[in-house]
Amino acid sequence: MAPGGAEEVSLPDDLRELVSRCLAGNQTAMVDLVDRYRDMVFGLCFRMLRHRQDAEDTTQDVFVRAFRNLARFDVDREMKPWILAIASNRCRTVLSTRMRRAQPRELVADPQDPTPDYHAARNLAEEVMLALSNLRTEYSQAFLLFHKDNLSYAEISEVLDCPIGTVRTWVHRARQEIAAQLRKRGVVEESRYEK
Amino acid sequence: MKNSDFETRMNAVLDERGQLLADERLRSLSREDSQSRELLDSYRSMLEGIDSAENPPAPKDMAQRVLAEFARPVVVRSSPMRRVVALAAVAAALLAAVAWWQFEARGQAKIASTIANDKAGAPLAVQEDGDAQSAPVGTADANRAPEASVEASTGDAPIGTMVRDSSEAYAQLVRDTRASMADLALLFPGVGQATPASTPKESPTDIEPSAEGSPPPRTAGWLNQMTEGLRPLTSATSGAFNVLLRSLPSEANDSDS
Repeated sequence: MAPGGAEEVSLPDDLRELVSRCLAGNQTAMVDLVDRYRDMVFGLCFRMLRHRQDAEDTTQDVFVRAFRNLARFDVDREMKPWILAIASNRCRTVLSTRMRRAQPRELVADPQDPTPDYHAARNLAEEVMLALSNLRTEYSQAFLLFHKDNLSYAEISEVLDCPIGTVRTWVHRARQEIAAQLRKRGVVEESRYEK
Repeated sequence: MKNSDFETRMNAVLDERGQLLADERLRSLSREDSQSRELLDSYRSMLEGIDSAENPPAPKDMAQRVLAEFARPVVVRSSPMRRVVALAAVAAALLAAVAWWQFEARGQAKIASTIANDKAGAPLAVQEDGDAQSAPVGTADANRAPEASVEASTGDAPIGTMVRDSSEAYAQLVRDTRASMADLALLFPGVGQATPASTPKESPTDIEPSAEGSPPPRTAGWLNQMTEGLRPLTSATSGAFNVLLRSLPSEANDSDS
């Protein structure tokens, strides 16, 4: 995935046909479309909302809205940023209107899993997610879309409907604040360098 | 290297999706400076943490749930703000309608009141047999006999009555105009004559009485005693007023001829 620059790739032929069949009301095509982007959308919703039930409900809502607005989708553009934009907006709406049920949890080791590395990795992941939850929504969204969904800055700007420069700024600030949070909590792993 | 420059360098590497430890510049700087090393380690931990963050799979039946929800009829739920805006629009429309109705009602009342007043002051109503009675030309003060009944309805008069009332008002206007013209005869000899005087010398000094019961004519010869130079002006003006008089609707008992 190219990290920068504008990408204007038209929809693959198979996807064009899939969209056409969906617009015609073909349910098999609609199932295929959902399965194609299901994990990506759910992953974003889960990371943003940090609550599985909310993430499932929001994912369902995202696809319903996508089908209702499919006629307005420009087939000359990629579908991935379009669906992620819907998901991003829905997550923002949920975050602003509902109380966040996934409160920051105390980091405790899983007594059933004896692997220290597993605990360490899990703790580090928890710490990063905790730090993400303390960021501004747009910072965390941009960061996750870049580092977790591997979108380019151009694609993220399309998803979040903002300039590429703004996206780059948000990602940089997110990195800076997450790193500062990790240092503050003392969970930074020291590197060993060859001299 | 300052921390900010070091972070800028790290961001540039990460934007290109490169490995932080693979960048020689960053490695050498972090070896030399403890703060740089701490920064680098914190960034690396961040990346490890996000990479190892759970990405639970979506439910397998998500497609079926989506189709079931999509098949449901759409229920449009208006937001509270929309309801408020809609109510405000309805209230504004009602207010405008009431204000317009009030304005119209007052306007109608004013018109009806004016017509009623005119009818109350009219000498005679126009009769269906065509006998029109009006103040003759040349009288300074027209007798105003309130013989017509007054219809003082406010806005409920039928259209035919309103038209008849308007005609009566117009007839009264004509009579008033003729009465006003009588005053002009005092100043301009020849006003009120059928044919304009060809020469100032032929202009009568007195206005002939034209109707029974009219006030006695007054002598209007004082102007003729003015200098000769005013006579063209007076004769021209008399002629203009006579044209106006001739343009007024003629009346049956008009003796101005």
